Parts: sequence; C-alpha cells; structure tokens
Amino acid sequence: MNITSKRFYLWIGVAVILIALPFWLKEYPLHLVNISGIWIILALSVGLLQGYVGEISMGHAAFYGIGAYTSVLLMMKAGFSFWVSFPISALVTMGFGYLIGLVSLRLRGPYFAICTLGFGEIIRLIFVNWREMSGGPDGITGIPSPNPIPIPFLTEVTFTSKQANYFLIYGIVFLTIFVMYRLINSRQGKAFMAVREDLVYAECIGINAMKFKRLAFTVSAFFAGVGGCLYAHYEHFISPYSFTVGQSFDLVIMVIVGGMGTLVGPIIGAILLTLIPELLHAIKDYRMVIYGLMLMLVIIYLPHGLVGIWQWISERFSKTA
Amino acid sequence: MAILAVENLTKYFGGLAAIFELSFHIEPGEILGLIGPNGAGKTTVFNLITGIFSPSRGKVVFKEEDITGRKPYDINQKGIARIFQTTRHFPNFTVLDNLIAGRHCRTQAGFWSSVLNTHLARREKRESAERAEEILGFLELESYRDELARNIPQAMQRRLDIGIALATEPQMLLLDEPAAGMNPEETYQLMEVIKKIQERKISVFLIEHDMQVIMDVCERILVLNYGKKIAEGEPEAIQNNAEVIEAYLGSEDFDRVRIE
Repeated sequence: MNITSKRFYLWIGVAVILIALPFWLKEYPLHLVNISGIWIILALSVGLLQGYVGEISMGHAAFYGIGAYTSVLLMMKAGFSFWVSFPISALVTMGFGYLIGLVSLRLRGPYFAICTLGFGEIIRLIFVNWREMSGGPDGITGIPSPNPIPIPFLTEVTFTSKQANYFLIYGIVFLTIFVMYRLINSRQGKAFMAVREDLVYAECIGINAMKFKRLAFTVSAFFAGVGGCLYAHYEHFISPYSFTVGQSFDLVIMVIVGGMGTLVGPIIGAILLTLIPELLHAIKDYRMVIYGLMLMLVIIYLPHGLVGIWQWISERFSKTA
Repeated sequence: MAILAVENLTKYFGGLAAIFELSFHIEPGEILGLIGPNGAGKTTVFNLITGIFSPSRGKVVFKEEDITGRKPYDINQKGIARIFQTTRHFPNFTVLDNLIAGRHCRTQAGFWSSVLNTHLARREKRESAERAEEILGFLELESYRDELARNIPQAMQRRLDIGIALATEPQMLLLDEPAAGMNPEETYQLMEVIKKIQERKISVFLIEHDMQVIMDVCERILVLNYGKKIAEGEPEAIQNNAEVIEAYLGSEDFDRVRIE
C-alpha cells in the first residue's frame, strides 16, 4: 500500500469513528464530547491569534459571550430563527472584534494582553448590569434549541437530542478547522507568522503588519462568536458567569498546553482541559491548581506543547529509519 | 531622471542633529556608496529613507513621488528594499519560506480567495514558489533550500537577507554593511553578487566599512561626518579629498586602502 492510499484509509477510519461515536456513547459522555467540540472552536479561535500572530488575548470569553447573548436575544426577543440568528451573532461578534482590535492591536505583548483583559471585563460587566436585555447575573434560562430543519415530504431534523447537536457542533468544528487550515497555509498565514517572528522586519519587506493583525483578530472573534452561539443553544442557559476572565484564561492555557503555532495543538488542549476536570470530579475544586501545575510543566519541559511530543517522536523515528 | 532624490533631509534626536541638511540623488541602475566614521549617521539615512524614522525636515522623493514619512511596508511596496546591518530574516522559517515571505507584498489574494483556494490564490502561490526558486539559483543558495535559516552559515544568511530583499522586487536596494564579518573570499563573492544585482537594473545604495568593496563596486561615493555631507564624487576623487582624510585620520580603513 502506498502512502496516499494509507492516508485515505486512515481518514475513512476516522470518519467512521466520528459518525459512529454519538450512537455508541451514553448520554453523559456524549455531552462532554459536545462541550469539547465547542471548546475546540474557541481554542482554535484563540490559537490563531496566539500561535500564529503571537499576541495573547485574555478577553476572548467576551467574544464568546457576545456571540451567545446576541443569538439568544435575536431568537427570544426578536423571534428570529436560529439559522438566521446564528450567522448574525457571529457577524456581530466579528464587528466587536474589529472595533476592539482597532484599538488594542496598537499595543503589543503584555500590554495587548492586559488591554484585551480590560475589554473582556467591560463586556462581562455589561452582561451583569444590563438587566433588561441580559437578565443580569441570573442570566437567561429556557433558551430554545436550534429550529428544526424540515426535509420536504419526509420528516424534519430536530436539534433537541444530544446526537443531533453532536452533528451540528462537529459540522461547525470541521468548517472551522477547514477555514483555519486554508488561512494558515495562504499568504495571509505567512504574513501572520512573519509578524509573529519579527514585526519591524515584516514591515520592511512590505507586509502591512497592522492589517494582518486586525484580520487575524477579526476572524478569531468571529469564531469565538460561533462557539458562543452554539454553546447557548446547546446548554439552554447562559449567565455572565460563563464568560468570565477564568474562561479566557482556560482558552489561553488550552492553546499553550496543546501546542502553539499548530492547528492540532488547540484541539488537543481543548479536549484535554474539558475532560480532565470531569474525569477528576473529586478534586474539581483544585482545577486551577492542576491547570497551573500543568502549565508550569508544559512551559518548562514541553515548550511546543503536547504536540511537541509527537514531533519529537516522529523526528526520532525518521532519524533511526 | 534620478530614481531617488533626497532634499535637505534633517533628523533630530532630542537636540542632536543626527542628519543635517543632507541632499543627494541616485540614478537608475547606479551603485552609490555611503561611507563615514562610526556614528556619522549612515544607518540613520537608511532608516529615514525606508520609513523606520520619519525625518524632522526635508523630503525623500522616489520615482518622482514624495514618500517622506510613509510607512515602511508602503515604501517597500513602492520599490525600495533594504538589508539590515545585523543579519535579519526569519530564523525559524526555511530558506525557501523566507524568500516566499519576501514575495508577500507582490501577491494580492484576499481572505476569501485564500480560504476558497481560488484560481488567483493558487496561481500566486505557484508564481511565488517559482520566483523564490529563481532567487535561490541567482544567489546559489539551492543547497540550503529546506534548511531553517538559523542553521545555515553566517555568510549564507547575509546572502539570504539580500535574497529576501530581492524577492520583494525592488528597483532600489539599500545594503547596510553587507560584508561585515565576512572573510576575503566571501567578500569577493558578495561583490560579484552586488554587480549581478546592478545588471538587473536595480540601483544599489551601499554602506560599507570595507574600503576595498566600496572602491571596487561603487560608481560614486557619498561621505558623511556628524550627519553632514562632507564629500561626494568618484572613488579616486574621494580617496584624495583632504576633508575625507581628515575625518578618517587615524582610521585603519583608509590607510590600508591608500597603502595598497
């Protein structure tokens, strides 16, 4: 078997497992898988900025929240269908991303991180205090599932079950991965990395650094909004407590633990950091302690994240082979 | 018509005039040398032309267009590329990727074009790769093609810097001490490269401490001291200029050339 057909069968295998997974898993594990999917989208959105442009956003939970609240309000107050409110909420989040990026991207490194932290906090406070719209600290309950899609003359696809949501969420996950992959392997991706490596030099070889930082931030906000919208309609409940600095930090940690500057890294990080606290229920209170330790160990011993282990192994193999 | 004309360029850092009332021009396809004692303001001139600093006074006109105070990426896109005094490229990219990064400003594919991988995006990718390969050949860097830039020899890294600058398709190239840290053999090869660049109808503006290079390669030389122009002319005239000798008095650079 040559390599391409081996690859082909590998992908077929992965696809079969992914399609069979929701029918095989029980209710609760499937719920965790779905939540992981949402975190994958969010971690990829942060990873684009953090891993490729080299700027750490500590306010991404705000975009996550804007996506969630916008879609919920459009659906519950304005009577929009989910299929309309979903893209609109992502676009609204993107708009916020563009505006916040316009200001914050003038700063670099820790200053940028602190600036986004501030914006994140401002937006969280709006969620808490704008009671008429956001329901204040109590949040919004009874959020409807995505509207059913009718299939003419036959039936309709409803999104009340965990299985149906699995396909919706992972459909979007794959779309996200696809867009990110294409973007990173394009001239835009090269520009992102050039800016990350040496901003002044990048400008001297004709790369408009600000423009590409803005592009990455806007795209990143868009996908955070997508994640937020999916989350709201999947959990049926949102409150400002779902979109705090803590969540922003989780995202940053996911990207670092998984591996910065790769697409696989944030995915691994998101799955791991969603599952670990659930699997270790007994020590859930020590979640942040565990995260902290993990972060320290990864930064000291695995500067390229968990993806680094795989790279290291494959390098070893190719050397001995 | 001069490709680059600098008029009364002045730059103050605090109360210090790093460059004062400097005027000169470069003809298309010419190699102009810029020399002067340490701290004379040579690199500052480059930084002012390429937009790293904006001048306090004066004008920089490139191809009859005023580019004073423009952003570095804008100036590069207009056709001025530079290399830095210290080796500067993307050390974590491969040599080929470095050159492709240099091609970035000559490609246009937008966000959607890239995400949908349209005809335009694919064509540009192919063209960039071809141009990068061509530059690899031109600078004889083929054998380092897929190496990370940080792993290749220092002289080759300097050459890569020039390659990236060429990849941006400039009409004028600013070289800031390209021979620094090179042995005579490498310096000789570098001189060949500079002459080959000139054959491509690219004007070269060259800062160099190695007088052998300056005297051999340049058609005209500009001498700076304390931010002011003290002489301008052909190599022989400069070598015999009293004021230049005065400025360089005690400097080995000049003595060596004169004895040779």
